[in-house]
Amino acid sequence: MTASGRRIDQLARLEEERSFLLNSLDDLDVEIRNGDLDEHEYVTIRNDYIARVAAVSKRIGEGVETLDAAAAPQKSRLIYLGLIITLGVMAGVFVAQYSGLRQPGETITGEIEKSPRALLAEAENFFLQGEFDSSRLVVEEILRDTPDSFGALLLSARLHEEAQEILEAIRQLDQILENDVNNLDALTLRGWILVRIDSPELLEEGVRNLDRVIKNKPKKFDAYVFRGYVARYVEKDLERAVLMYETALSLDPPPAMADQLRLFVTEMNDEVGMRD
Amino acid sequence: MTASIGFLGIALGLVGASCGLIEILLALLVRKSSGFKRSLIWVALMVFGCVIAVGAMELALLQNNFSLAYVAGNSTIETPTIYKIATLWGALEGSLLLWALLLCGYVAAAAWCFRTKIHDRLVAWSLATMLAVCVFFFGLLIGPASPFDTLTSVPLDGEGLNPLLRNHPLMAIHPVMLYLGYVGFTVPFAFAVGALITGRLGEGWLVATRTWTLIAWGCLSIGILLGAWWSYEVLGWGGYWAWDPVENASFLPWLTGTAFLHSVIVQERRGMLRVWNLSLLLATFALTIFGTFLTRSGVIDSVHEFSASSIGPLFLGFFAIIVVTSVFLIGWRGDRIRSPGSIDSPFSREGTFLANNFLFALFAFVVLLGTIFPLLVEAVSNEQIAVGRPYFDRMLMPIGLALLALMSVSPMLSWRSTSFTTLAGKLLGPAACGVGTMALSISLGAHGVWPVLGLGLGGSTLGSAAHQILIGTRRHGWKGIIGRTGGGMIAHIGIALIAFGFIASTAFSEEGEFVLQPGDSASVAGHEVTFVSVRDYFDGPNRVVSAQVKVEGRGTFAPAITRYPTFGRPISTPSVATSWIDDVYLSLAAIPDEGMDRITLRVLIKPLVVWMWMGGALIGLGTLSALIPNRRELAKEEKEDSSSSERLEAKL
Repeated sequence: MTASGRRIDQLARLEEERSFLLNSLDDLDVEIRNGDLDEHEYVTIRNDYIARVAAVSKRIGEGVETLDAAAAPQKSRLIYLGLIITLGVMAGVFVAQYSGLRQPGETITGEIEKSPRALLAEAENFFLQGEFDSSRLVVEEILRDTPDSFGALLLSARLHEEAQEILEAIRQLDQILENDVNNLDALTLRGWILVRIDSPELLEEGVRNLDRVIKNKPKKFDAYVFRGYVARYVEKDLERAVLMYETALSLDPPPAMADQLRLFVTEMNDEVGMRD
Repeated sequence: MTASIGFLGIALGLVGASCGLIEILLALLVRKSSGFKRSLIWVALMVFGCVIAVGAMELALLQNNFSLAYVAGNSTIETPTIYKIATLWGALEGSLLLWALLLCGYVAAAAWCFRTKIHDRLVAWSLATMLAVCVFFFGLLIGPASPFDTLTSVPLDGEGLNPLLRNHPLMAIHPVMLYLGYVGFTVPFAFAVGALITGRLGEGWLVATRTWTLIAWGCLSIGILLGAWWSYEVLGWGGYWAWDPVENASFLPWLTGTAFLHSVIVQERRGMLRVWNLSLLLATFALTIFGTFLTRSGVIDSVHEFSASSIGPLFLGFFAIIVVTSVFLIGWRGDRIRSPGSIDSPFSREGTFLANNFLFALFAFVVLLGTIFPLLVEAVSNEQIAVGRPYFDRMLMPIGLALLALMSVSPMLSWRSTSFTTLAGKLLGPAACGVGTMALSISLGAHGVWPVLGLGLGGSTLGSAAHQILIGTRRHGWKGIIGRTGGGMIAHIGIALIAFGFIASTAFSEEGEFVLQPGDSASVAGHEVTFVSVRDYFDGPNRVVSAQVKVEGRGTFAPAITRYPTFGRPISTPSVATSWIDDVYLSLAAIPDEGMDRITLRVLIKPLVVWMWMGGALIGLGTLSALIPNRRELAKEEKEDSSSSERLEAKL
């Protein structure tokens, strides 16, 4: 834009400002009538507007040539720009500080506060669906907050067992048993892991664990199934195996497992019958 | 047959929108006025088509017509009727159909309201903009997001919706309200575009669209609150807001929309902030599209998977068009929309409105940054990150408190300037309310600087709004509570109640988790709960465990947990014993083993939660009140039209 163009533009702006100030004076009268302003405020503001209208009118009256053709000062713009950049940087620093790797099932922002019990249910669910990595991440999260959570330690042991990390699994179970020597779930899993290791010494310890569980007459079927397995395949004691499987069947196992157990019982009964 | 009728309906909608758009553009560009009237006929055809399509889909849902892929994928024979109807908006294609229906409703209503002014170029350009938006949505529905695709092999039963979407009646209302809000912003957006194109950037178009903006804002506010309520009543985690991306997507346009509702008053009263107001309105509409893109494109799961959805890139493209067009129009008309004059004093109504707008913009920026940051990081570095709740809580708490402070001060200020003496006198009442609230909350056990300060500011906001309503009713009787000022103050009271509920339930919530046998009791924050009995049964293929829990002094409640064979994790359905003081929130933490009568019960005591829902109702009431034209406000809008010299002479 040329200098004369800028002057004309500035003149138009002054005209606009004068019109704005005059409108404001009109509004001021309406506001005092409506009681939005008190007398003192009205007089102060009115005098200020009138002075500003007079000043603008004077500048317009002096003509185009006397107007400053230079560009409007950029100081305020720079201040705004600086403020915006500062806020942007601050927000950037904060957002980086409060972000972390996304866990499975986690949304990209925010989070629902879940109790350790709810988290454990979630982890068990991942486990049942075969999503072991997801389950492990949730279990680790629980153990970070509650390192002695029996449920989380047990599930962690099951995950380690699934990954063939036997030693780690046993360590987790021992941690449970340190605090609760008669924890039947831990003893059952510990026994089941040990009896499958090819070592007579560990087999003996595993059987001891399972027998300790059964002595307590658990309401869950799994210890009877594991003990039945040992009786059938390791000890070759079919009567005991049948007894264990029948007890397990009386404890309402899932339908698929129940079918399998009934098959085993029939097979073993046939075998015993043939032997007799 | 149903599929064909539905498809025909969408095709009619697309034809109506496209032909209406072409007709009106031709009329505008060739200046052939008969086209304006004809465009209204095309609008009627579009609405007719859309109603047919929605009717066909609802009929298919109610009749279990599983030959439609949408019905087979989202409904079942066993689904109760209310949820069958609500299935329309339960999944992508149906929700876009609902969007189209609401859009048609708004466009038809706007066309009807402005039918006598259809020759006005501003109105015509606005209608053209609305029809262009309609073309986009009908285009989606006829192609990439068609709800009427059919299956070659028809299943005997459908898969059904996510169980979370069919276990509470709020699901039937909340999305509709939210969409009424989202879609409603199309009308003021279209008028803003019309004003920019025609260059008629005075205050006329704002007055014309005020009602539409208020309706959209009110619906969006209620929709968001209903969503929070649904989350509280259904999800079982005991909260109502988690800053998840879907919540953020709905909150962003609300923030810019709320900023606009305030700053537009400054423009109407003093002719200032024109560029800012246009930008806010354009941004609000753009954010509704961006929010839909976020929630419907699959981008939330992964930026690398979103391109697998054909709708994602289209939404992104539409969003880009809106942003580019908006920036171009504002740049093009930059000189004309520059406002003359400036804020006379920071201690004025307009000064605080400007500050409030700055805070709302900052709030929106923080939420937007937190929401898109993980997407940007993943796009750049392939790393999947999450932005945790502390970012939002810590960044937004001071902004929220500052906004509350402004809410208590701003209504007490005069336009232009307020002297310190007057200000001190006017603020005495709200300040006393604030201090009183703080003292009361401390005596009731509240602690911590920020929560107590927040409650105090809430009290002061309440005092300030009540004072304004009192003045209004003293001057104008019951009419003092209607109109924009009265309605606005009712909404402010609603916001203050929400602030009380939010702060108290966040900062002073207590909880416990107990393993209980029948007859066992537990106590949290003075509330005793007794586990009475458990009922373990099958509702069709779903195993339901429902516990009878007695809450002392409140009655017996039945939290439940359900395992759906088609859904991975069990769904906990909480039960809430509500009172004015606090909620006793009961939920079963895990599904018990079959045959076991031992439950794990989570008990949360959440103070003042019900105040939030009451606050929402007041916002709705305030919006309705603000929609009623106030004669005094109308009188103010009549401007005198005299020449500058005459007026200057008169004044001097």
